[in-house]
Amino acid sequence: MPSFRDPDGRIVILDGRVLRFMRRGAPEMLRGFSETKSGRRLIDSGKIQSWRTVNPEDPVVQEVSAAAPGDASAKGWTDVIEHERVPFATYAHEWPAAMLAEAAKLTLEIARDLLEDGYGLKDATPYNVLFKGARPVHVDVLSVERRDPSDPIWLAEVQFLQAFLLPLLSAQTFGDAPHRHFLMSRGGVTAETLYRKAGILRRFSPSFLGFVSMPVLLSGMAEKREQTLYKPRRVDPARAAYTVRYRIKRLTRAIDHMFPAPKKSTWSDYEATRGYDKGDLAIKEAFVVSAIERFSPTRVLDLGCNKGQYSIMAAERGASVVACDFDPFVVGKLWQVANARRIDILPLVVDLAQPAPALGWRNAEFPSFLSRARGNFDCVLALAIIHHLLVTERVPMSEVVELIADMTLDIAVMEYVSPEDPNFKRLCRGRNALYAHLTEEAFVSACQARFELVDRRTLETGNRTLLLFKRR
Amino acid sequence: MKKFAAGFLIMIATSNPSYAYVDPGSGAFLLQILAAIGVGALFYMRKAREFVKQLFTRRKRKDR
Repeated sequence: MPSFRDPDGRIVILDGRVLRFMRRGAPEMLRGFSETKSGRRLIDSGKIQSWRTVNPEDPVVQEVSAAAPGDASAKGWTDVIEHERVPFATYAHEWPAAMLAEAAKLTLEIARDLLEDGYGLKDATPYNVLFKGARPVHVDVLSVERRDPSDPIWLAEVQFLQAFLLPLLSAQTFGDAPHRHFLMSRGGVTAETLYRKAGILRRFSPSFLGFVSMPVLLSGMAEKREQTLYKPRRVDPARAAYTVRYRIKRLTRAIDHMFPAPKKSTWSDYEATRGYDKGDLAIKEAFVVSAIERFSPTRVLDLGCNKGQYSIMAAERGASVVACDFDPFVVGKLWQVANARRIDILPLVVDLAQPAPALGWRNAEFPSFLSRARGNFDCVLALAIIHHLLVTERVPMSEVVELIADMTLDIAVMEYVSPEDPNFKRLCRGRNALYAHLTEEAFVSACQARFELVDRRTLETGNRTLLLFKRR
Repeated sequence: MKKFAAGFLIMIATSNPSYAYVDPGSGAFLLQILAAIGVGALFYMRKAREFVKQLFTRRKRKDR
């Protein structure tokens, strides 16, 4: 489905190409913006997605125009630009708090920098930001608009509060994971929601007073003035620029302050404490490295990445990695490492037993995680996760194999954990009899329906085996 | 003044908004407008301060 929310243009993805069809006037605005000092700087640094103009005679443009019924899609839209495709599109409902905060900072930085050349952002939503590896990039160039220099109000500020600041405030205050808010609402969180959740004392805390309690109290007054509330306001341009810059600075400070402090989670010290002795860990690492070096995958999906040590190994060997785990804490930590070390890893919060569904209008705006991942990788790492799917989620073995085979075009490195393993037993909670049929040979045999076994190595403890498979 | 402050505190502590057909961002927007007025006042205060500062700097230079 083409994007449709912005009346100035829409995105159509065809044959792997990202085309933006624009209304008359939009290209001039874009050209003007890209020639400013701030625009050039933001585009050259990769903070705003670059583009190139597409010839209207290009067959793809013709194809889209011909297929569009009436004015419902691209037909009649005069100008087309093409963006480089971001390798893996991800949305706020898959980001840990740290990534949402980074997207917020990028949005504010762009809004602030554009001011100096008389431009601004007309909206402020995480859906304008994608991640290339660990680095955020603002992909909606038509969010940029020429600002009325005498307007002291940044209209997108309220949207910014609901989509960035309040979910982060909620995460910091109540310890919830911001991605969950976006599974329920693309707008994020309202001040009213947080107000109801907060206790009486919390409502007086400085951040709640300014961003939650006061807006809620003023809403009644605002509604009474709805006729005049949104009327344009004009002041001296120098004062207007000072005011908008001041507000953006305040929001930036608030986001910096709210960035969730690291907390210990159940999974954060997993590799260090559970399941492996040092020798086994070395064997496991050597097996994964050898598989990666042998097949040189370019796109790796690490399922159940935990701290992401195998993701880092793959990325250091030239792969572009998408690393998933259901624990937002470890995903956030991995993002911080990847971002700080400039490693090509995109960490995502994904519960493999319930991955993000298709969301948005008619469930067609944001494709499901699985549909984005399917066939997008040439290597899947499924290390110490399969037994969780088998036992905790009660997913049949053949289903797990199908899922992995769907994701990879070439190889899969899997770890088989036997029912004798202490961790397996812990997960079983006394239901060991249910898994009496599970043996390494039964598992390999299930995998062989979709894969060929290339290599195998049993760890010294004897309860875990690493398996390298190649797709049939 | 004390009565006003007490009333305000009680309102924050106990207010239970209902917002069936209400724009949930309207309060934040009104606050943004009020803040813009406040920041505008700050802007003019700074301008005035800079003006006075410049006046003294010029005078000092002339003194030399």
